[in-house]
Amino acid sequence: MDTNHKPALILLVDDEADILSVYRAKLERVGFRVITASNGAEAVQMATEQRPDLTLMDMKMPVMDGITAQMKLKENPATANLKVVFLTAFSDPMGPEIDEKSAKENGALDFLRKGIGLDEFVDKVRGYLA
Amino acid sequence: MNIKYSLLRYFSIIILVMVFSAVSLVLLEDNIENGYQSIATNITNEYQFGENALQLIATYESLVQNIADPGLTAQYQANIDKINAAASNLSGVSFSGASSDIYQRLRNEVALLEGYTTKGIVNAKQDNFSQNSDILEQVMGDKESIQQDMASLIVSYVSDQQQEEKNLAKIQIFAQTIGVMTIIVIAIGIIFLAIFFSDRLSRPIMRLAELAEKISVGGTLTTRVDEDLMRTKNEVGSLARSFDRMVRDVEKRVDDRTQALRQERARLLASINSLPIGFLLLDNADGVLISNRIVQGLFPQKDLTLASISKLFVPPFDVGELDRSLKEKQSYELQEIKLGERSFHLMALPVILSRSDQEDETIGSVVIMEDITRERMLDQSKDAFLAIAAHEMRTPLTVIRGNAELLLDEPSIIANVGLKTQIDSVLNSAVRLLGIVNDFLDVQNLEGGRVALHVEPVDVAWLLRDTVRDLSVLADKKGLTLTINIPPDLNSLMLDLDKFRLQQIYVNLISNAIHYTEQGSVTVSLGKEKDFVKILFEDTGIGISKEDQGRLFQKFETGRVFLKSREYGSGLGLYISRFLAHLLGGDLVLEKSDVLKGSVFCLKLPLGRIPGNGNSKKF
Repeated sequence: MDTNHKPALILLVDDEADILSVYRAKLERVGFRVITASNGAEAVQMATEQRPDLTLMDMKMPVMDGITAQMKLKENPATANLKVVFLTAFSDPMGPEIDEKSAKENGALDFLRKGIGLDEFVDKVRGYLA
Repeated sequence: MNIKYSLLRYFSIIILVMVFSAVSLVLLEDNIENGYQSIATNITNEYQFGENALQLIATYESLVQNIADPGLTAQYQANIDKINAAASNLSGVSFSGASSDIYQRLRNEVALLEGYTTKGIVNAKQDNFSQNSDILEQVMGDKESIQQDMASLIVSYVSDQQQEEKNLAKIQIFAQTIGVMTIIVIAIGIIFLAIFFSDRLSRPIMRLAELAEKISVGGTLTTRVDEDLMRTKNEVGSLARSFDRMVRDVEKRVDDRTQALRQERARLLASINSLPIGFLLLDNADGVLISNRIVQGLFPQKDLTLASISKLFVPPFDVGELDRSLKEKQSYELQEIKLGERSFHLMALPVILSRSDQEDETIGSVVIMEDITRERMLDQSKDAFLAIAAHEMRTPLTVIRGNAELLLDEPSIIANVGLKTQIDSVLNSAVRLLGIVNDFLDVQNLEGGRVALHVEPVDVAWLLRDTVRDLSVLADKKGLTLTINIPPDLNSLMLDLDKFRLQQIYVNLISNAIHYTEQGSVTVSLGKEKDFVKILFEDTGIGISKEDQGRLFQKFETGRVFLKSREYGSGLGLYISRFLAHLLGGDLVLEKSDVLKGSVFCLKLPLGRIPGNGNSKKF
């Protein structure tokens, strides 16, 4: 990661445009480069093409959900080593269909709770990149 | 006839026979004795007569030799008088056999002797002694025959006496034999009489006993006493009739009671069946005695009677609380159970038999099954609604919060104090709402068992310090002292726990303490007991009233305390914290609290491993 020369590239994936815009604004403000996708399929395509330093991905999305997208990335040797963190509802009542355990077994780095303060959010992101 | 009188009659006859026999024997013996006595007297008299005759002859001899002696003549005359007196003694006596003949001969000879003597005296007076010597010769001849007669009289007397004795002995033997025979006959009679009476008495009584046995053992109250037994005229008959009346009476009463019981049972069953709830009456061994239609409709078994309640349910019903209810004679709420898709709330009430003479006895229990499927479904839909609402609110809240934070980064806004205050307010409200929403979702997942614990070694002391440090900003803002006391030996204390969940409890308790304290301090202390870690959270805040303490850990919908007095948060914090503490194998309690003085909460964590959490899937 060329954090010294070039800011880290972060792929934000969420079907909610407002969420994307808030996180993008904050991350860009603190100096990261940000690209966005609105579903899993787009995310897989962009990650394959641009190889971001970190992918922050929502779990429940139309077209392709986050878990499936993460598995696709894992299957492809070119993207298998990319860092993926799920943006999660933390206590997600819609949980039953999302198998967090298998997500983690498939190499998801962590789960980042939506709704935390932006400064804390940035701290966490820096932590994943370190 | 009266048995007593019959017995008296029979026994009087026996006694009369005995007395009669005894008297006859005594009389018989007396007669024999008297006869014997008279025979002896007669023989004595005969002998006396003979003796007198011999004396007379002796007198005569000397008289003949000295005929001139006038004294002798007088003596002779006296002897004659004597013999006449003896003869007159014997005159009234009748003689039998040999002695009679002898007596007759003696009389004749004495008479001859008188004749001779008279002649001899005449001769002597005429000195005609030569004629007297002839007479003397004749007298001597008489003397000899008298002596012979005497001898034969004695022989005859002896033989007579022997004969009499023999007869007497025979009679005595005969009398004794009769006596013994009589006694034997009487004894046999008595025995027969006894057998006859005991049989006559005991047979009907035995028959009654047999009937009584039949009734008491077989319970056949239709049993009737034999007609002939009732017709008997003595006491046994009246006993038999009374017995028969009693049996008929008892049968009627039993019939009446049975009918009354049937009616009662029908009424009771109708009442029980009309209940809108399930009803089970159990015996002391948890076996079903009565069940109503609602209960019967729940189980496939046709007859639930005597089935054990524990086996009716799958998984088996835990009768522990039921048994406790029986033992303590108190009503108990039992566990909620599910039958297929339906949920039931069970309640046990002991059936107590009050006794005046001894302690009350528990004779079973009533179990009431209330169908709470609808309530549970409402609960579920309410929970689902809340969850969906909360979930749907989170994204917009995140956006609001994020944008407020972004705005507060802008130098132009920071410079505008009025605008900054407004955006701060938006941010605070969004944060608070997010907290509430997250609490809802936490409860939802905790109660749904969707919380998976990530157990790892956690330094509870370090985590406590870390949390206190994070929250000291809040305390500083309110001017409170936030202190932490950790004894040196607990400076680092590793326990197998879920770090995130433990921190959630810490944060909740400390931020609560800060929130409800306006001045003073919040103190967190770590301590160690025998087998658990004890963390105290003390504040000098508003405290919790006794009334509210009881509801403190309840969920928001039942704990009005939160809606009433705690404007802060969802009111679910303590509920979630205690839930989590239990999940971690520990406990959370309110140690003490005084209104306006402050509260102390105590978190206990086990030193051992926490129990597994198999059914939790998610967080």
